[in-house]
Amino acid sequence: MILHTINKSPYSSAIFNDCLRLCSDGDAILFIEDGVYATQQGTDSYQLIEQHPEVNFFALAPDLEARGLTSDQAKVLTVDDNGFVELAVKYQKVQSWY
Amino acid sequence: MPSAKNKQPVNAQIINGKTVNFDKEGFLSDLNDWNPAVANIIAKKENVQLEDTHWEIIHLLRQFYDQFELSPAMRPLVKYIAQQLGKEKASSMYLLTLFPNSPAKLASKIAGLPKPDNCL
Amino acid sequence: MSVQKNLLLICRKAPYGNALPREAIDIALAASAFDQNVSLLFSGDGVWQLLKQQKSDSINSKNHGKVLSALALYGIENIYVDNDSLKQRNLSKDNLLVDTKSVTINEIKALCNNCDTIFNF
Repeated sequence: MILHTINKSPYSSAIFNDCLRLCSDGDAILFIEDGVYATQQGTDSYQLIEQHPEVNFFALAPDLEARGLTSDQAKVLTVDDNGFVELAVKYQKVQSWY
Repeated sequence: MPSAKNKQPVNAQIINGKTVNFDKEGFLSDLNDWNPAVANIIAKKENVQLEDTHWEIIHLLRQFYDQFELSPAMRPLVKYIAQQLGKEKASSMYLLTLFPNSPAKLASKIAGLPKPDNCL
Repeated sequence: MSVQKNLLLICRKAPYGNALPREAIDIALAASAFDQNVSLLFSGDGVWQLLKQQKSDSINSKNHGKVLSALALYGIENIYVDNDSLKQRNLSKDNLLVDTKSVTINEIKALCNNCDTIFNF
Protein backbone atom coordinates (compact mmCIF):
# COMPACT_ATOMS: atom_id res chain seq x y z
CA MET A 1 0.00 0.00 0.00
CA ILE A 2 1.20 3.44 -0.95
CA LEU A 3 0.79 6.81 0.72
CA HIS A 4 0.52 9.48 -1.97
CA THR A 5 1.05 13.13 -1.10
CA ILE A 6 -0.38 15.90 -3.28
CA ASN A 7 0.78 19.49 -2.87
CA LYS A 8 -0.92 21.31 -5.76
CA SER A 9 -4.35 22.88 -5.94
CA PRO A 10 -6.76 20.88 -8.12
CA TYR A 11 -7.67 24.16 -9.80
CA SER A 12 -4.20 24.59 -11.28
CA SER A 13 -2.90 21.05 -11.65
CA ALA A 14 -4.07 17.67 -12.90
CA ILE A 15 -2.04 15.66 -10.40
CA PHE A 16 -5.05 14.72 -8.25
CA ASN A 17 -6.57 12.97 -11.27
CA ASP A 18 -3.23 11.47 -12.32
CA CYS A 19 -2.65 10.19 -8.81
CA LEU A 20 -6.15 8.67 -8.42
CA ARG A 21 -5.69 6.83 -11.68
CA LEU A 22 -2.65 5.03 -10.29
CA CYS A 23 -4.13 4.32 -6.84
CA SER A 24 -4.74 0.73 -5.83
CA ASP A 25 -7.34 -0.33 -3.26
CA GLY A 26 -6.17 0.56 0.22
CA ASP A 27 -3.80 3.33 -0.85
CA ALA A 28 -4.00 6.67 0.89
CA ILE A 29 -3.83 10.23 -0.38
CA LEU A 30 -2.65 12.98 1.94
CA PHE A 31 -3.29 16.54 0.80
CA ILE A 32 -0.59 18.97 1.85
CA GLU A 33 0.24 22.61 1.07
CA ASP A 34 -2.02 23.85 -1.77
CA GLY A 35 -3.25 20.29 -2.19
CA VAL A 36 -5.66 20.89 0.70
CA TYR A 37 -7.91 22.99 -1.57
CA ALA A 38 -9.12 19.65 -3.00
CA THR A 39 -10.93 18.80 0.23
CA GLN A 40 -13.68 21.40 0.11
CA GLN A 41 -17.30 20.23 -0.10
CA GLY A 42 -19.47 21.09 -3.09
CA THR A 43 -16.59 21.03 -5.56
CA ASP A 44 -15.59 18.73 -8.41
CA SER A 45 -12.57 17.50 -6.50
CA TYR A 46 -14.71 16.66 -3.47
CA GLN A 47 -16.95 14.62 -5.79
CA LEU A 48 -13.88 12.71 -6.87
CA ILE A 49 -13.09 11.99 -3.24
CA GLU A 50 -16.65 10.68 -2.74
CA GLN A 51 -16.33 8.50 -5.84
CA HIS A 52 -13.25 6.72 -4.47
CA PRO A 53 -14.18 5.00 -1.20
CA GLU A 54 -11.37 2.47 -1.81
CA VAL A 55 -8.83 5.22 -1.15
CA ASN A 56 -8.22 6.73 2.30
CA PHE A 57 -8.08 10.53 2.21
CA PHE A 58 -6.23 12.75 4.67
CA ALA A 59 -5.38 16.44 4.85
CA LEU A 60 -2.65 18.14 6.83
CA ALA A 61 -4.30 20.24 9.54
CA PRO A 62 -1.73 23.08 9.72
CA ASP A 63 -2.02 23.61 5.95
CA LEU A 64 -5.84 23.72 6.15
CA GLU A 65 -5.79 26.13 9.09
CA ALA A 66 -3.24 28.42 7.50
CA ARG A 67 -5.53 28.81 4.48
CA GLY A 68 -8.72 29.38 6.50
CA LEU A 69 -10.13 25.98 5.56
CA THR A 70 -11.73 23.16 7.53
CA SER A 71 -12.31 19.54 6.64
CA ASP A 72 -15.56 17.59 6.92
CA GLN A 73 -13.78 14.81 8.89
CA ALA A 74 -16.11 12.29 7.21
CA LYS A 75 -14.45 11.62 3.88
CA VAL A 76 -11.21 13.42 4.68
CA LEU A 77 -9.51 12.98 8.04
CA THR A 78 -7.14 15.66 9.23
CA VAL A 79 -3.74 14.80 10.63
CA ASP A 80 -1.11 16.94 12.30
CA ASP A 81 2.62 16.67 11.57
CA ASN A 82 2.97 13.66 13.87
CA GLY A 83 0.05 12.04 12.06
CA PHE A 84 1.87 12.61 8.77
CA VAL A 85 4.85 10.73 10.15
CA GLU A 86 2.61 7.92 11.41
CA LEU A 87 1.05 7.56 7.98
CA ALA A 88 4.46 7.50 6.32
CA VAL A 89 5.45 4.66 8.63
CA LYS A 90 2.18 2.76 8.27
CA TYR A 91 2.26 2.63 4.47
CA GLN A 92 5.14 0.73 2.84
CA LYS A 93 5.90 3.39 0.27
CA VAL A 94 5.43 7.11 -0.08
CA GLN A 95 4.94 8.71 -3.43
CA SER A 96 5.11 12.50 -3.67
CA TRP A 97 3.11 14.10 -6.44
CA TYR A 98 4.04 17.65 -7.33
CA MET B 1 22.59 20.06 -13.15
CA PRO B 2 24.93 22.90 -14.02
CA SER B 3 26.62 22.55 -17.37
CA ALA B 4 30.38 22.90 -17.42
CA LYS B 5 30.01 26.36 -18.90
CA ASN B 6 28.37 27.64 -15.73
CA LYS B 7 31.18 26.69 -13.41
CA GLN B 8 33.28 29.54 -12.13
CA PRO B 9 36.71 29.48 -13.75
CA VAL B 10 39.35 29.42 -11.05
CA ASN B 11 42.43 28.86 -13.18
CA ALA B 12 43.28 30.56 -16.42
CA GLN B 13 46.12 29.54 -18.68
CA ILE B 14 47.21 30.84 -22.04
CA ILE B 15 47.52 27.97 -24.52
CA ASN B 16 48.58 28.75 -28.10
CA GLY B 17 47.79 32.41 -27.51
CA LYS B 18 44.28 31.74 -26.24
CA THR B 19 43.08 32.04 -22.63
CA VAL B 20 41.68 28.74 -21.39
CA ASN B 21 39.80 28.52 -18.09
CA PHE B 22 39.76 25.53 -15.77
CA ASP B 23 37.65 24.82 -12.70
CA LYS B 24 39.22 23.99 -9.35
CA GLU B 25 39.49 20.30 -10.22
CA GLY B 26 41.18 21.02 -13.53
CA PHE B 27 38.18 20.39 -15.81
CA LEU B 28 37.70 22.78 -18.72
CA SER B 29 35.27 25.58 -17.95
CA ASP B 30 34.22 25.86 -21.58
CA LEU B 31 34.13 22.59 -23.53
CA ASN B 32 34.69 24.50 -26.78
CA ASP B 33 38.21 25.39 -25.65
CA TRP B 34 39.34 21.80 -26.14
CA ASN B 35 41.90 20.81 -28.74
CA PRO B 36 44.74 18.26 -28.74
CA ALA B 37 47.22 20.85 -27.45
CA VAL B 38 44.94 21.55 -24.49
CA ALA B 39 44.58 17.79 -23.92
CA ASN B 40 48.37 17.42 -23.79
CA ILE B 41 48.64 20.17 -21.20
CA ILE B 42 45.90 18.68 -19.01
CA ALA B 43 47.53 15.25 -19.33
CA LYS B 44 50.92 16.62 -18.32
CA LYS B 45 49.39 18.14 -15.18
CA GLU B 46 47.98 14.71 -14.37
CA ASN B 47 51.30 12.97 -15.09
CA VAL B 48 49.92 11.07 -18.08
CA GLN B 49 52.03 10.81 -21.25
CA LEU B 50 49.54 10.57 -24.12
CA GLU B 51 50.21 7.72 -26.57
CA ASP B 52 48.09 6.48 -29.47
CA THR B 53 46.24 4.14 -27.11
CA HIS B 54 45.24 7.13 -24.97
CA TRP B 55 44.11 9.16 -27.96
CA GLU B 56 41.92 6.29 -29.11
CA ILE B 57 40.01 6.44 -25.81
CA ILE B 58 39.99 10.24 -25.76
CA HIS B 59 38.43 10.41 -29.21
CA LEU B 60 35.95 7.72 -28.25
CA LEU B 61 34.95 9.68 -25.15
CA ARG B 62 34.36 12.77 -27.25
CA GLN B 63 32.26 10.66 -29.61
CA PHE B 64 30.31 9.35 -26.59
CA TYR B 65 29.68 12.89 -25.42
CA ASP B 66 28.61 13.96 -28.89
CA GLN B 67 26.21 11.03 -29.10
CA PHE B 68 24.72 11.13 -25.59
CA GLU B 69 25.64 14.60 -24.20
CA LEU B 70 26.91 12.84 -21.13
CA SER B 71 30.29 12.00 -19.57
CA PRO B 72 30.15 8.27 -19.01
CA ALA B 73 30.66 6.44 -15.75
CA MET B 74 33.06 3.49 -15.83
CA ARG B 75 30.67 0.69 -16.75
CA PRO B 76 28.88 2.36 -19.65
CA LEU B 77 32.26 3.50 -20.96
CA VAL B 78 33.51 -0.09 -20.93
CA LYS B 79 30.34 -1.23 -22.72
CA TYR B 80 30.77 1.51 -25.30
CA ILE B 81 34.40 0.53 -25.88
CA ALA B 82 33.25 -3.06 -26.44
CA GLN B 83 30.80 -1.84 -29.08
CA GLN B 84 33.20 0.53 -30.82
CA LEU B 85 36.70 -0.87 -30.36
CA GLY B 86 36.11 -4.53 -29.62
CA LYS B 87 36.18 -6.73 -26.55
CA GLU B 88 39.98 -6.78 -25.89
CA LYS B 89 40.07 -3.15 -24.81
CA ALA B 90 36.72 -3.28 -23.02
CA SER B 91 37.88 -3.72 -19.45
CA SER B 92 38.38 -1.48 -16.46
CA MET B 93 41.90 -2.93 -16.11
CA TYR B 94 42.85 -1.69 -19.56
CA LEU B 95 41.48 1.78 -18.74
CA LEU B 96 43.26 1.80 -15.39
CA THR B 97 46.61 1.21 -17.05
CA LEU B 98 46.02 4.16 -19.39
CA PHE B 99 44.30 6.50 -16.93
CA PRO B 100 45.28 5.50 -13.38
CA ASN B 101 43.11 5.66 -10.24
CA SER B 102 39.83 6.97 -11.63
CA PRO B 103 39.81 6.32 -15.39
CA ALA B 104 36.35 7.69 -16.24
CA LYS B 105 37.06 10.93 -14.41
CA LEU B 106 40.64 11.39 -15.59
CA ALA B 107 39.96 10.48 -19.21
CA SER B 108 36.92 12.82 -19.28
CA LYS B 109 39.11 15.60 -17.92
CA ILE B 110 41.76 15.12 -20.62
CA ALA B 111 39.09 14.75 -23.31
CA GLY B 112 37.67 18.13 -22.29
CA LEU B 113 34.33 16.78 -21.05
CA PRO B 114 32.48 17.73 -17.86
CA LYS B 115 33.19 15.65 -14.78
CA PRO B 116 31.01 12.50 -14.85
CA ASP B 117 28.10 13.09 -12.43
CA ASN B 118 27.84 9.56 -11.28
CA CYS B 119 31.30 8.37 -10.44
CA LEU B 120 33.01 8.36 -7.07
CA MET C 1 27.57 -3.72 1.97
CA SER C 2 25.50 -2.79 -0.98
CA VAL C 3 21.78 -3.37 -0.93
CA GLN C 4 20.09 -3.74 -4.27
CA LYS C 5 16.67 -2.18 -4.49
CA ASN C 6 14.06 -2.06 -7.20
CA LEU C 7 13.56 1.60 -8.02
CA LEU C 8 10.70 2.88 -10.14
CA LEU C 9 11.04 6.35 -11.59
CA ILE C 10 7.84 7.81 -12.97
CA CYS C 11 8.53 10.55 -15.50
CA ARG C 12 5.45 12.74 -15.96
CA LYS C 13 6.78 16.02 -17.31
CA ALA C 14 7.49 17.16 -20.86
CA PRO C 15 11.22 17.49 -21.56
CA TYR C 16 12.21 21.14 -21.97
CA GLY C 17 9.87 23.03 -19.61
CA ASN C 18 11.93 22.50 -16.48
CA ALA C 19 14.88 20.56 -15.11
CA LEU C 20 12.93 17.64 -13.59
CA PRO C 21 13.04 15.28 -16.60
CA ARG C 22 16.81 15.57 -16.79
CA GLU C 23 17.18 15.21 -13.00
CA ALA C 24 15.14 12.01 -13.15
CA ILE C 25 17.39 10.52 -15.82
CA ASP C 26 20.49 11.56 -13.88
CA ILE C 27 19.11 9.73 -10.85
CA ALA C 28 18.42 6.68 -12.99
CA LEU C 29 21.95 6.68 -14.43
CA ALA C 30 23.58 7.24 -11.05
CA ALA C 31 21.46 4.58 -9.32
CA SER C 32 22.28 2.14 -12.07
CA ALA C 33 26.00 2.94 -11.79
CA PHE C 34 25.61 1.93 -8.13
CA ASP C 35 24.08 -1.42 -9.02
CA GLN C 36 20.48 -0.55 -8.27
CA ASN C 37 17.73 -2.14 -10.32
CA VAL C 38 16.11 0.80 -12.11
CA SER C 39 12.82 0.86 -14.01
CA LEU C 40 11.48 3.91 -15.81
CA LEU C 41 7.84 4.63 -16.53
CA PHE C 42 6.91 7.46 -18.87
CA SER C 43 3.38 8.67 -18.24
CA GLY C 44 1.29 11.77 -18.97
CA ASP C 45 3.32 14.52 -20.64
CA GLY C 46 6.41 12.47 -19.77
CA VAL C 47 5.85 10.48 -22.97
CA TRP C 48 6.93 13.56 -24.94
CA GLN C 49 10.44 12.94 -23.59
CA LEU C 50 10.63 9.86 -25.80
CA LEU C 51 9.82 11.58 -29.07
CA LYS C 52 12.26 11.01 -31.94
CA GLN C 53 14.14 13.79 -33.69
CA GLN C 54 14.52 16.26 -30.85
CA LYS C 55 16.85 19.06 -31.98
CA SER C 56 17.25 21.20 -28.91
CA ASP C 57 20.13 23.28 -30.28
CA SER C 58 17.41 25.71 -31.30
CA ILE C 59 16.75 26.54 -27.63
CA ASN C 60 20.33 26.05 -26.40
CA SER C 61 19.38 23.06 -24.27
CA LYS C 62 20.97 19.69 -23.86
CA ASN C 63 19.27 17.14 -26.07
CA HIS C 64 17.04 15.04 -23.83
CA GLY C 65 16.60 12.36 -26.48
CA LYS C 66 20.37 11.83 -26.68
CA VAL C 67 20.58 11.30 -22.93
CA LEU C 68 17.73 8.79 -23.05
CA SER C 69 19.48 6.84 -25.78
CA ALA C 70 22.32 6.16 -23.28
CA LEU C 71 20.02 4.20 -20.95
CA ALA C 72 20.87 0.86 -22.55
CA LEU C 73 24.61 1.43 -22.04
CA TYR C 74 23.86 2.00 -18.36
CA GLY C 75 22.10 -1.34 -18.21
CA ILE C 76 18.63 0.18 -17.84
CA GLU C 77 16.37 -2.02 -19.89
CA ASN C 78 13.05 -1.84 -18.06
CA ILE C 79 11.56 1.13 -19.83
CA TYR C 80 7.77 1.36 -19.77
CA VAL C 81 5.39 3.78 -21.40
CA ASP C 82 1.81 4.45 -20.36
CA ASN C 83 -0.33 3.24 -23.26
CA ASP C 84 -3.25 5.58 -22.40
CA SER C 85 -0.91 8.58 -22.38
CA LEU C 86 0.38 7.64 -25.83
CA LYS C 87 -3.15 7.28 -27.19
CA GLN C 88 -4.30 10.60 -25.71
CA ARG C 89 -1.48 12.31 -27.58
CA ASN C 90 -2.04 10.40 -30.82
CA LEU C 91 1.40 8.78 -30.49
CA SER C 92 2.50 5.22 -31.11
CA LYS C 93 5.64 3.32 -30.29
CA ASP C 94 6.93 4.15 -33.80
CA ASN C 95 7.29 7.76 -32.66
CA LEU C 96 9.58 6.85 -29.77
CA LEU C 97 13.36 6.87 -29.79
CA VAL C 98 14.02 4.07 -27.32
CA ASP C 99 12.62 0.59 -27.17
CA THR C 100 9.82 0.66 -24.61
CA LYS C 101 7.19 -1.71 -23.31
CA SER C 102 3.75 -0.14 -23.38
CA VAL C 103 1.70 -0.88 -20.28
CA THR C 104 -1.95 -0.65 -19.23
CA ILE C 105 -3.14 1.07 -16.07
CA ASN C 106 -3.36 -2.27 -14.26
CA GLU C 107 0.21 -3.12 -15.24
CA ILE C 108 1.28 0.30 -13.98
CA LYS C 109 -0.40 -0.34 -10.63
CA ALA C 110 1.46 -3.63 -10.41
CA LEU C 111 4.77 -1.87 -11.16
CA CYS C 112 4.07 0.60 -8.35
CA ASN C 113 3.11 -2.14 -5.92
CA ASN C 114 6.02 -4.44 -6.72
CA CYS C 115 8.95 -2.02 -6.50
CA ASP C 116 10.76 -0.98 -3.32
CA THR C 117 10.85 2.76 -3.89
CA ILE C 118 9.02 5.14 -6.21
CA PHE C 119 10.39 8.45 -7.44
CA ASN C 120 7.88 10.68 -9.11
CA PHE C 121 9.05 13.44 -11.43
